[in-house]
Amino acid sequence: MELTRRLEEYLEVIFLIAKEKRVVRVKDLVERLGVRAPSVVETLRSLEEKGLVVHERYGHIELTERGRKRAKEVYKKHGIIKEFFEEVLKLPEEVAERDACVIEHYISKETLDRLLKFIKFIKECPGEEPFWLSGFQYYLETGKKSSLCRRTGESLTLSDLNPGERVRIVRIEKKELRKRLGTMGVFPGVEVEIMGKGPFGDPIELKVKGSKLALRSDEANCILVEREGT
Amino acid sequence: MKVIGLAGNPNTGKTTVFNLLTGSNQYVGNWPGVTVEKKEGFFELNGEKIKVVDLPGVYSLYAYSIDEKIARNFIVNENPDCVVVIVDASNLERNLYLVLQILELGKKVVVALNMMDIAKERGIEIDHETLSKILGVKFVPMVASRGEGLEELKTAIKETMAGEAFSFRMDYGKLEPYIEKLEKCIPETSFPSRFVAVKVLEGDPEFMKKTESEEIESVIEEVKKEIDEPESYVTERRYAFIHGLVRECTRKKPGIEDKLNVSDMLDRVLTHPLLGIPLFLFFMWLAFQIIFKIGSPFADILDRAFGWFGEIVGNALSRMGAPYLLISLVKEGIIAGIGSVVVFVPNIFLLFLVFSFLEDSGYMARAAFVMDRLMHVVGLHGKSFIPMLLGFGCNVPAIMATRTLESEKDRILTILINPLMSCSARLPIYVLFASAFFPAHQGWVVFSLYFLGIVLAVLMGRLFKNVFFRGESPPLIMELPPYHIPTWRNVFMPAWTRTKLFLKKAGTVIFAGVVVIWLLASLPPGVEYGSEESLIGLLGKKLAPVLSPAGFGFWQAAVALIFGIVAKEVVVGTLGTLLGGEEMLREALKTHFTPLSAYAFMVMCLIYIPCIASIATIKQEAGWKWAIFSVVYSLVLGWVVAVLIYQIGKIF
Repeated sequence: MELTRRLEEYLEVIFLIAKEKRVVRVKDLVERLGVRAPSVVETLRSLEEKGLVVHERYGHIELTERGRKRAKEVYKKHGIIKEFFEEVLKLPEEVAERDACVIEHYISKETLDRLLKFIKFIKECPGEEPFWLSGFQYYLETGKKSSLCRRTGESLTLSDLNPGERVRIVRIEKKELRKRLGTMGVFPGVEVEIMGKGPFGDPIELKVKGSKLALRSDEANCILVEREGT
Repeated sequence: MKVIGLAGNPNTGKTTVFNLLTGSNQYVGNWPGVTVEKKEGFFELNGEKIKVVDLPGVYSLYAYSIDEKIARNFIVNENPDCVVVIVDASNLERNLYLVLQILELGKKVVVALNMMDIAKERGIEIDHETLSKILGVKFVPMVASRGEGLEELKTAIKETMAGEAFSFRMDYGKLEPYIEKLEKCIPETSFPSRFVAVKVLEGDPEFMKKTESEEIESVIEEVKKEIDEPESYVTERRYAFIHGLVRECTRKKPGIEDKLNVSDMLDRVLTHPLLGIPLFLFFMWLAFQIIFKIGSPFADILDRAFGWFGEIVGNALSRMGAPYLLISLVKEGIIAGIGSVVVFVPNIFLLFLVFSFLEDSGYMARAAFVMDRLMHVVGLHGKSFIPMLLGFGCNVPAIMATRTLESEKDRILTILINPLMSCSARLPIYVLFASAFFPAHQGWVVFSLYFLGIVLAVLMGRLFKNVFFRGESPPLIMELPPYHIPTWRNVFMPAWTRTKLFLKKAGTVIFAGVVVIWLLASLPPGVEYGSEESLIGLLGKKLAPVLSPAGFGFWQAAVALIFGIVAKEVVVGTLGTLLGGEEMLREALKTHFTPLSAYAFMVMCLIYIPCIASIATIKQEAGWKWAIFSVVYSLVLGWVVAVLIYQIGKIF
């Protein structure tokens, strides 16, 4: 049975209020939904007609068995969407809650299913949180690509190192950078020492075969390295 | 005349070798129409005069920057009789990378193994004879800073020029069959076809454009099936070869390698995250102290000398019964004109001396390093800082210095905001007004103008970046050369040649400007010199109302500003002629300006229209469109800021 967005919303709210306070009155709905009493009464009548709610005049509102089932479905959708917003897109809870409330009534079953599977997939990934998701969080916070965006979570780049560390270059991403550094004697297999960092942590000062180079952390991020002896 | 080119990585002592060869017999190319700072000089070899061209320092011949293109086009198109590659012996592997590519061009080459002393310090012994044998060109050990090896170098040049070119063939392994195929379908250029084929495989943008064809594309496709990244493969092959070569020809004494050297210790302090910027600012402050505290007394002496000379000549002429107009032309036009140029020489020479010192000592690169993050705010990188810094000297060489920036966006952006760096020609204006109106706070007033220029450059930089040049900044890869104590020659020579360049520019453009003023001020015939009825007065009167919201709405100021376009220091000369001679000028100014309007006027002089020479250089580097834009925006900005200062200042 198709329900309008408004009716779905009513079912969900009645379900939630019932969970909190056991009894649900028209007044509660007026408060929660921010609409006037006559329109609440009118909507309730249409829900009653569909056999989802029992409402005695001036009395309590109760969900029928079918109504409860339906409300639970809607609420579950809400939960999935909210979780996706919060856990994957890293939105704050209020925003996730607010937007889930809107989207839940429109979203198709297929998309919802896919979201559900996606969340399950992430949760079941070995380890705590997939590295690229942490990378995404870092990206959101700093606007910079994280070294965690690499193929494996453990790859080390030049920008991850501290002054004094010595490493060997494994790979240089980005063609232009590779060529440019190549002409200056920096290519895979070469040993590099981090000499220091500039004011505000950027650029990075390197020593390669006795000569010193300065690189920005954006570029250092593209240079994959390994520590000696690994 | 025979020509040799000097090539090499940056910081290999190329300039030192150049100075050593040519002595004082050198000049910097005239900026209009000439590429990067093109230094040329002459020396004699067995009675034969030989021209030496100092090429820009590059790491490879891949056309990444304009410098690299210039170097390779010179070697190929100008066909020098010999190319001398200067190599840092203490860093042989990286330096040989360029040597190999130059050898591949099939020219006569001599390699100068410079900095042998540093190599020895690091425990590296180089067998230059074996190197010569394997690569087929002469390797000459040198310590250019002490003049060692010069005669040997000259002999090697002579012998090489007399001999045949050695064509070196690098083996590119798996790429060889493809190189052969490419050679067949590459259109004829002045470059050897094998060289072009390899460059195409390296993805060189210039050659890719020149050789575009389906045939070539299909070969490249084929290559990519076998080798993932042909460009990396080429680099690897070269380094593999170099590695073998170096292993065969050098010996390293164990144990010396990893000592912290003096450069490292200096860098601990000079590039320190917290100390770096304050130290840099301190050095800048020190530089300005040297330039002005030492320079100004000399400037005063010159000033007085020209005044005295003008009087003497004027008196002599009038005794001979010369007409008034002629006396006036000689005294007020010619002698005062030359004087107004020469007076700046002490300050400008010192400024160039200080910057040459910073450049040669290796500190300039550190300045770029510590300033990079801040320059990033403007959307530029640390390297742009050097042209900005040079802008304090003269915007013309500064704008030319932007050529070291790889990205065109960066170059144009740096060029556009460069005139906001207050050049030395604007200083006389500040000095004149500051000494007349703010005698107790001259230093602060002048400093505030420089600072205002920097702030505006930052703001405009951000604005232009967002309006014209959105998108990512290019990568910053910069070498930090070892520090060394600059030799007197390396500091003095560039400072002197740059000063000569200034004098030449001054001698022509500025002098012409002063004479034109004199003419405009004396015409139509019969008017009193520089009066309201003269041509210049009429022009100024038309413009004065526009300037009155900025507090200097009188025709003399307008006229001075018009002629300031010729060269900013002409403003001083013009005010001098229009308001009364040099001595009375300060008094005369006080009757026309208040301290507030004087300040607004200085701000206007700081910002409005770059001088003719700068406009010409901008046109040369970025095209007419940007040159015109630069004129328009600076005029508008200057007026707006001057008006704001005057109007807001009036409230207090």
